[in-house]
Amino acid sequence: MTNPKTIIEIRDGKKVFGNFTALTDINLSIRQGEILTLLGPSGCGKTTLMRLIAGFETLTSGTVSIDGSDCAGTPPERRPVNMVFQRYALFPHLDVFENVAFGLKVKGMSKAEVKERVNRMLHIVQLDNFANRYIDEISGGQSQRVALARALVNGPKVLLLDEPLAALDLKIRQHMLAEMKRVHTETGATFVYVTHDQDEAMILSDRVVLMEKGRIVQIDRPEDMYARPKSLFAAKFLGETNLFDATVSAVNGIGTTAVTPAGIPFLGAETADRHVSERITVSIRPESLSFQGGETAAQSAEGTVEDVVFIGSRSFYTVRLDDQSPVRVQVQRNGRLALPSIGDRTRVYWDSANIVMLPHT
Amino acid sequence: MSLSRTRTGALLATPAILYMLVFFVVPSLILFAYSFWSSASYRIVPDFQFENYLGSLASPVFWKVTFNAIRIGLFTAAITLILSIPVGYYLVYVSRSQTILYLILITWFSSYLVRIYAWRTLLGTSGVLNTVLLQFGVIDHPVSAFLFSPFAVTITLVHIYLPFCILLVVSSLSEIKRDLVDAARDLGTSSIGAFFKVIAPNAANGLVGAFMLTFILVAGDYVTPQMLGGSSGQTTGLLIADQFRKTGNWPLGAAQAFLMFGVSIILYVVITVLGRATGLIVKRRAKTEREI
Amino acid sequence: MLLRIIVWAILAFLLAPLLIIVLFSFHASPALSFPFAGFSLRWYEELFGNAQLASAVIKSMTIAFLTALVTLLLGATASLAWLRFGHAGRGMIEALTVTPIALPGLFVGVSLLVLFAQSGTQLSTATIVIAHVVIAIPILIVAMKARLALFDPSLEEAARDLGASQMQTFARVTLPLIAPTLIASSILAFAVSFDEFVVTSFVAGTETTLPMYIWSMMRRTVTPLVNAISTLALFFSIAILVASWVIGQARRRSAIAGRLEQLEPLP
Repeated sequence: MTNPKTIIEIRDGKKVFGNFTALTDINLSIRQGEILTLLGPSGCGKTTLMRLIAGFETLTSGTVSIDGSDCAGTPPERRPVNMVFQRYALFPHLDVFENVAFGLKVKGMSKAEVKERVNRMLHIVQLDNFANRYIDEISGGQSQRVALARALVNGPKVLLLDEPLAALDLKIRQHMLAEMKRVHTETGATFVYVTHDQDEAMILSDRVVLMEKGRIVQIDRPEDMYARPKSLFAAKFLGETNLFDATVSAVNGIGTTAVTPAGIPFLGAETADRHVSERITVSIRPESLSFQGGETAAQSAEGTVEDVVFIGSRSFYTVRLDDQSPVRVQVQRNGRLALPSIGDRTRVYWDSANIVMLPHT
Repeated sequence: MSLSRTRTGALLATPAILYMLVFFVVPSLILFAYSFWSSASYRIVPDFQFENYLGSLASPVFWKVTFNAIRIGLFTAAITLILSIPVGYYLVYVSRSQTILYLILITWFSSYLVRIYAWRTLLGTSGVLNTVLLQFGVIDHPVSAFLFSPFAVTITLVHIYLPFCILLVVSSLSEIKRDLVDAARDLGTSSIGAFFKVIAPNAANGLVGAFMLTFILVAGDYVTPQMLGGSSGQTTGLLIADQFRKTGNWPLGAAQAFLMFGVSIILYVVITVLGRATGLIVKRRAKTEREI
Repeated sequence: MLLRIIVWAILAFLLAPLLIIVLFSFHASPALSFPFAGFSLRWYEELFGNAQLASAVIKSMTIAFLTALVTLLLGATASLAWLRFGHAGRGMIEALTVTPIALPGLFVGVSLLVLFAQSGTQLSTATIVIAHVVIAIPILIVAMKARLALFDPSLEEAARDLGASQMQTFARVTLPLIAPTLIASSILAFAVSFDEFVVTSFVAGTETTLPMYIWSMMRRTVTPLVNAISTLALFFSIAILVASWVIGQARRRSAIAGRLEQLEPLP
């Protein structure tokens, strides 16, 4: 992955439908070989962005270039990208083999070569024995593999996947995620993956593009986006978090101190761009809170345990702090530590390293 | 892409739309224009006068045959709908039987004239019904009243339009999911109760539509009453047809066709209003429109 | 159970008159009454020597064939347009093409008659075909609509995405998917035309189609010959319906058969 080449470049992209702006200020470089996820709630423009790359939509302004050449006006059939459709769009009048062979045949490839390539691809997606099945004779998971094979057999420079797991149930979904990672490794193709599911994005991607209301709000590696969200939206969309409105009281070389209206102080490690009396929102993930203080968890607040939910090895506590704000605390269950029960007074501790300070909205 | 898609669509739609404009919409408009023209000794004169309408409305013969057509239409449509509902219910909720569906389609596509002829054969004085009844001693001499009676007209019309009405009922019931019936059953209604409390209110628009469509087609059918009704088979349709084929007073025929049309629309409104007033027809929010 | 009995009783009501016609077409005596006097093919023999009847049948076949062809072409383009339209466009196509089904043949017949009279068009086979297409299109559109509602527009996008041009997409995806229904529906158009009587009686001029021939026989006298013609017409309708059904179902089987020939063990 040293100095990866840019395969798709979108500059100042804007897309308007009638009087609705679907996308604006889109600047995105997709690197060769990566799995890039377009993540966001429905209506954020992620599918439109993908359809722009595929050629089913054209930009109102800005440019899309694939492998260095501007592809304005290039119809979908002449773009070196292929797509896995949300409901697969497999051809019901063709069997699995013919579905996968479709792209090669319209390009006029010789019969022998078509056969060889299709069979190789069916082997990769482990459907060797299903070549002559019709689309209504295979399961949802198998349909998904056919759709994957049908797109990949054309050797696309970029594979576009539009919520490919949305139609599958949870168990198969997890299996298919692993499968897609394997196929990605085996083929080395670039994947652009559209989803509204943060877990899929986390598991699968090298980089996540988080979108909201037609804009890209953050592009980062999934772990960085989780640990260092740059906006309230990012903090809330990826995983669960506790949020506190606060005002910056001091900024110095060690970090920034912010205080909630009820007087709970938060000392964060970051110093950048903060100034005294600025209103911010403090975000702390439930797993960054604990009931034990220590060297790394020196800050704390007091409250009463309101509710406990056990999920296997973890427990989720809801603690109402003395300023009446509820916080969620996730603890790893471990027999040696005494944990509070419902109604108990308790102290909740955290570490400055886990505090994220976000612009107040 | 989406723009060129609709443009291709418009291009593709042109032939069919043009065809229907030229051979359906334009003729209807000409016919409407004709209804204001006048006719003098087999010659048709462009004009703008209401005599065709006013004359028909003032004519006792017109009202007599129109009432006859409406009576036959309402009576037949009611029987047809009542018979269609159990078949439709059976096909939609009990058994998606292809055999039954195809038997219905076969009768629908079997010749219109053949079916009229069949009933003449069955009901005639030396027909099947009379000979069978004679043999069983139910009657002692052939009954001529079977044929050329309102009874003969109605039974034949029901036979002709029942398949069509069944298909309409099937399609309107198909929109009501089985779950609703199951839910009603689960909540303690009988299957007949489920029909009246759940299906009928929801399907009311479709059922009224089926009734009205059958009514319009039956009331406009003049061949069957003519062939099986004898003197009782005079309907507006026959009157109109005769203006075009025998009398040659096309403007009058055109006006009467539109009067018949108007009567159908008035009836439709009356039935819908009555249905709403008695709570038999429930206004349903159009789901599709909200989803867009 | 009661429902089943009612349903079958209604079906018996629908079918019995037709069966009786068939039965009496083989009756050895001209009487249309029981007791049955034995089977005979005499009415059919009489029919086959009838030149007028033969020409009426040929005329009806020709008209029905032309009607089916025109309806197929107009219906196919309208269906493709339907797939490309939103709600408003679809509504417009439907309003224009389905309305005639809700009007008595009388209305369609006289309005076309005034059109032809006004434009000075001579009534002929052509005017009959024109009229039959007007009543056949609604049936084709209604039949297609049910099928097209299931058509997934992303299939066309998928084909484009895989490198197929607009024409290739049409030939390899859209057409194969809608063709069986189109052909089945145009066969129904054939059946409708073959049987049409009311509209024809206004626009036929001096032409005699089979239903018009039957009509003239019916008016003159009750003759067992009509039974025989009716039986043939009935079986012809059934044959058409069966053909339409078989074609509607055929897609899968033919496609599978095509693949089986290529079937070879995979590496």
